[in-house]
Amino acid sequence: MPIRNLTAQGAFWIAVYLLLILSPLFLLLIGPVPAGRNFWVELSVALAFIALSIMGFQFLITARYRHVAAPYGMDIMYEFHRQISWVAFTLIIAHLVILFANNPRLLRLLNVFEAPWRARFGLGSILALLLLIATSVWRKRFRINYESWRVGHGVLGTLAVAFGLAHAVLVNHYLELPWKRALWIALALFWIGLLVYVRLVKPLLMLRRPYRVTEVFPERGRAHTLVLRPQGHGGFKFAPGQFAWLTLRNSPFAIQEHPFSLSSASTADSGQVAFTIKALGDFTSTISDIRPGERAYLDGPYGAFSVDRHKAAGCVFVAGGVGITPVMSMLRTLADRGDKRPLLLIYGSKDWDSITFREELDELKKRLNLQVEHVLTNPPPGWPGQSGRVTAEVLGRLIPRDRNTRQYYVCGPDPMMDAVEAALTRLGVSLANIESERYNFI
Amino acid sequence: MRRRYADYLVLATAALILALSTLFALLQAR
Repeated sequence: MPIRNLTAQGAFWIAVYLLLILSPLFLLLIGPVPAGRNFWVELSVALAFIALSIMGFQFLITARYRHVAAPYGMDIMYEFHRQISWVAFTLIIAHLVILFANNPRLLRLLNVFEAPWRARFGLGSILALLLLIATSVWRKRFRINYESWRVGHGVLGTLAVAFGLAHAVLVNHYLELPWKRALWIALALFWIGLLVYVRLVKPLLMLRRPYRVTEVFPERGRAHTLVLRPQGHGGFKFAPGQFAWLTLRNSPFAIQEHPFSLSSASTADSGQVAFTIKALGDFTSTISDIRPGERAYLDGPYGAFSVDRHKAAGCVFVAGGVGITPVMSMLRTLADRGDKRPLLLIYGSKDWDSITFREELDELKKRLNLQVEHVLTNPPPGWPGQSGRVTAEVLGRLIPRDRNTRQYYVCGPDPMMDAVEAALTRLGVSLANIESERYNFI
Repeated sequence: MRRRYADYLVLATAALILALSTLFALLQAR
């Protein structure tokens, strides 16, 4: 995809999104409109309708439409999903505060035992929203596993929207006219339809495009590489650095999927792909038990972390631990393409023996104009290279003096990425030249 | 970088919502 085209697409989808969340409110002003109330009541009602609309279209943001996500990257779609939910929540709170401040007698509606159903539904929607946010922000603290959280997230999201809409219908002010009510109900059905698409239609489509594990082998640094071949279909084309959601030993309906970077070159035309996965958690620790012949399902490719998205005179890759996988895909692809641009890899690992792809990186140096700088936290005695963490000092020593002649790609554990991004900016690298990939989807 | 853009987009969306809600209220208020 040409770069300029992606920018135009990005702007287009933002405009569509804004139109989608804002127009349902203004459609209420078409035709006979109920008598206006005071400014503050009208403002609070407008805020609440927009909040409801934002909540509904949250289902669209996370529906993983590849074409919509392409200009931004799926990680950013989720980031936006999280942040805009705070906006919706603030609007709902503002709706309440303005109404109560304007007319304190409305406070009696908080008594759910005596309040009318319109108020009960309103409170129910807020309760669902509060639970939705709390379980997402503190999922790990509450020890909710990912799969249960995901089911609960869908249920609570549906309840928040359905109760919110029931509240608006029962208030019966702006939705008094049948066509306006029908419009909002149709919108809500569309939102819930999106959830059905993600949870039922998409898995069904994945079921028809299975993969078979052809190889599993260990790598340095407690990692395993899994090679998958498409069964009865051509697989997918991806850009080096992209990722896919992987389902193993489960049906796609079981939502037991996990996002991983593809580590293979994107130049393979058999549809064969490889993932290199480090044993870090419950799921990743089971990868070593996977045997050739097992079935797998993939949802992908996604992500905007790719050398193909930037036309730079050279690249600097900063990888930490298993963050090397998307970088490896990029290096392998660039080598296959015979790329001659100067490439620098600054690669943080625990020690010399745990450097995943250590030998292959040496091989790649022969095929690419590539300099590899290992940064070891536990260097062996007499280690001549960089040691400690990838700090501003280390980066300052290694990256080209003319900082912005390169595109920077950063991938690794979150604290490392925060530190590296901040350090690069301090060293004079423009933000536009820093690309990063995070797998924080919750 | 893309994250920064997402932050800007959220802020811009919030500002647009406030402006248009105010417009709605001004149009409708008695």
